[in-house]
Amino acid sequence: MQDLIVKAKEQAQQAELYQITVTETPVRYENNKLKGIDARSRQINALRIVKDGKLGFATSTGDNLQPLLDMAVTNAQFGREWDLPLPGAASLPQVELTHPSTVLDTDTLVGMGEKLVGRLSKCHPDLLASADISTRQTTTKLINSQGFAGEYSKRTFSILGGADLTEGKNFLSLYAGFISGKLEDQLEKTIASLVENFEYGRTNVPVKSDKYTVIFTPQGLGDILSPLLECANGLAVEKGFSPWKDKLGKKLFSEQFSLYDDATIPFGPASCLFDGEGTPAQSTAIIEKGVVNSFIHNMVTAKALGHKSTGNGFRSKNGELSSPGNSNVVLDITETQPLEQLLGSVQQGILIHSLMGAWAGNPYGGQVNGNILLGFLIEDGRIIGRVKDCMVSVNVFEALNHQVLGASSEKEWAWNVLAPHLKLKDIAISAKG
Amino acid sequence: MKEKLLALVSNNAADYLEIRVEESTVSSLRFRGPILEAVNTSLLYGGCIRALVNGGWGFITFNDVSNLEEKVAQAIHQAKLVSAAGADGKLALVPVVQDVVQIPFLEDPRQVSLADKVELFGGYNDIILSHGKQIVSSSINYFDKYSKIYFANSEGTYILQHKLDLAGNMSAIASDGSTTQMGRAGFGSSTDFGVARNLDDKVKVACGRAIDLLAAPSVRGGEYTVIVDPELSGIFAHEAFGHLSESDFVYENPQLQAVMKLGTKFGGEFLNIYDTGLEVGARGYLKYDDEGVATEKTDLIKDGVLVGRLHTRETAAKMGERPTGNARALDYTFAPICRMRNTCIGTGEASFDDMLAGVKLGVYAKGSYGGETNGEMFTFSADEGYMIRDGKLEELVRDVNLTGNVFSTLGNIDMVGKDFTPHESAGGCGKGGQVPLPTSEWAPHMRIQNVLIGGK
Repeated sequence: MQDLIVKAKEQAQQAELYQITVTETPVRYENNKLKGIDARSRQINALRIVKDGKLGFATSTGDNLQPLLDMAVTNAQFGREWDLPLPGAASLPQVELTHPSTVLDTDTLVGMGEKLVGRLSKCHPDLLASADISTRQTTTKLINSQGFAGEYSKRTFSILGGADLTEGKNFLSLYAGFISGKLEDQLEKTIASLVENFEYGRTNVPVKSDKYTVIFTPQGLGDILSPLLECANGLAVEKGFSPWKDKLGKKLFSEQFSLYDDATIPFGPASCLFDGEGTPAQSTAIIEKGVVNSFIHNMVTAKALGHKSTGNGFRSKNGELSSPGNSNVVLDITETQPLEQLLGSVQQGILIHSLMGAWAGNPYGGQVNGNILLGFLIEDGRIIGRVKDCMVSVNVFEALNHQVLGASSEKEWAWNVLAPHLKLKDIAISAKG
Repeated sequence: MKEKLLALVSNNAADYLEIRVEESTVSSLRFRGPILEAVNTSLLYGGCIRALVNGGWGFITFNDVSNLEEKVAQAIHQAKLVSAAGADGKLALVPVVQDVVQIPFLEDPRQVSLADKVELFGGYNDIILSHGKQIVSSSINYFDKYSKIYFANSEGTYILQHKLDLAGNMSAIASDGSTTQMGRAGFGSSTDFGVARNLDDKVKVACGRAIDLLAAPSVRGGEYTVIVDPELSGIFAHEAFGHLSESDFVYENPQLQAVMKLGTKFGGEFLNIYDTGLEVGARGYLKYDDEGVATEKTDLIKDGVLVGRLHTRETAAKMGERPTGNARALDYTFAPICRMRNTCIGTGEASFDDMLAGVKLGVYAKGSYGGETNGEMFTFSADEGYMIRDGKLEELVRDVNLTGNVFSTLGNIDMVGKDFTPHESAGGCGKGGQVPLPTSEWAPHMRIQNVLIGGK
């Protein structure tokens, strides 16, 4: 790697080489059976140079480093102007990324799959269970001409379980899963979630168009948080798409509500030591007690706005640096009560576990419209059955300002989001008929 | 390469072996506002091996194409582990093929210099940014991917396919201080950089739409008669029926097989839906799929009746049907799974005026932000909508997100237009983590009764 930096320096003022190697071994269950065992490995290299004050970029796979420099030099003719030094040698934060419990052989992964499928198929003779269970080992290296040289390895365990029941033209499709640097009770939790939702989801109940108290589960919250994360993205702010561009320090939300991006959570799915540009991992309060506190930045967006990079310069799958990306996202609500009480206090409402198509809209208006893929009617504090063929429509900017009723004291991971159940009032549900 | 790969997969320890090696170059550029933010070149080189032993599959991916014999042995080892758990994988018979497929270029993007590309897209960017003060920014993405894909299997098939996929999107972003709205124009092709040229008028229309949407109210939620434009019709065909036609969803689900029994009536006799790999130039064009099976035009619904479905070799074998050439992999890091190519709604007889006539209260939904399905229910989101009252198009509305039940909605289509329109976009299809796979959706206007639209 160092050779390429030395060679690049002969033609360019600055150079940076990023390299990631990934190996993973998923075992895949489909329709109650072990379908396949995979072994995947890949290596991505990305060279960034600053030549004549302009950025040049190129990527390759495997050991194919040699052509990168010429390609980057060609692209630099048209590259973005750049006058910042890349990060120099820095002390990196101590973040626990990997626990030894994630060393798991294929037999163990297969055993987990058997357990999941075995338990679910007891729920119903026609239920079809699926699972994708894997460990992933990544090694990330970054060196640049300014003296930064960092490397870290990380191993995660991931489980994605699913259950499908088709009864005539009624489909019940459930999924649950986790990614973590530490093996805990994710298998048991995945099974418990699928079994519980299967029981609740067996009975369909009618729902009328109206405004309801709605509880979003941590899994269901992803689509609700997405407009906020888009608006806080340094790129959207820099380019003027974000309605928050002049809202730093302004209170836009309920003071109960805080939102963080935190790459330093021990064993977090997206935790790291440094981002794809060598900026140390950190925790950033995006919204603190309802006030817009910070955007998330990579070096480019930070420079454009006169801010500092927040360490969110993450790379895409092929090594590209584009817009800033989130690491672990944490939602905090101050007024909480145990989940049982949160649910128990709802006279009539809807529990939303997953939405479909809610991502397909304009995030900068805050409007989220989605088909309720898995949602339940709550009456007198009890879940009484599944609601279907209906849509939820929320303006999240308004809802998180004026309609927050509280949250559960328990938090759960839903992929890279750590959140409680969130209770909102007066949420519009549109139904057939 | 040919002899080497064919020799490699002739290993007798497996019932079936295949290797796919991909060599791709991707060029991309991205404007955000006045700045050309990124000009990238990526070289991708890697391969994968898939082995079937006694019903079990093993799959392995790699960048390093040395020591392939060891990799074959590892795939076979994994397949044996799966087989020991009682797997029952099998493959339908297909003809052995030896072929080299070239790209029938109209204009090869590799012959267009980077400077010319920057000038072309920079020109569109200038049109957007000079459109008026309500346009606050722009976003332009372009890529072209040129690939050589080598495929060999233990049955003696060897295919070298040269492939091109190119697409782009030009977005105008308008803001009035409190709201941000977007208007977009896109293109895509598997043979021709020319589709990226002469788009000034489309870009101007997108600018106008972004500005008009600022003042437009959100649509009121409820059930409406909806007319969808050809772009949304195509997305409907893809989301509402195409995914349900993918047989990996059906082949081991007896309950669903009963619902999806060939010969079942799903819609009016004017309704025809098919999926084809044969349209040269479409992003969903492909001569052979990633199992080396020649593609075709596959009728799914003919005259309102279910007549076919999309197959891989495995789903075809298990259902006793014919492989259709729908096994596709995003790239060498994935095994092929059942996917669409170019999914179309066949031409009907209605004019747009016929569709408007008699609509008391409805919505004309145009352009697509994308959609999703779970097989039974689907949703898709329109770029813009117009209210229809007493047969007349009236005010512009925004946030038009439609949802429905696949089975009832197909029966609620009461008119199909005579304006069949090939439409190519920069989007792609996602399934099983393989996203974005290039697909196309071609269709005419359609009218659908009782569609649920979300909103307050």
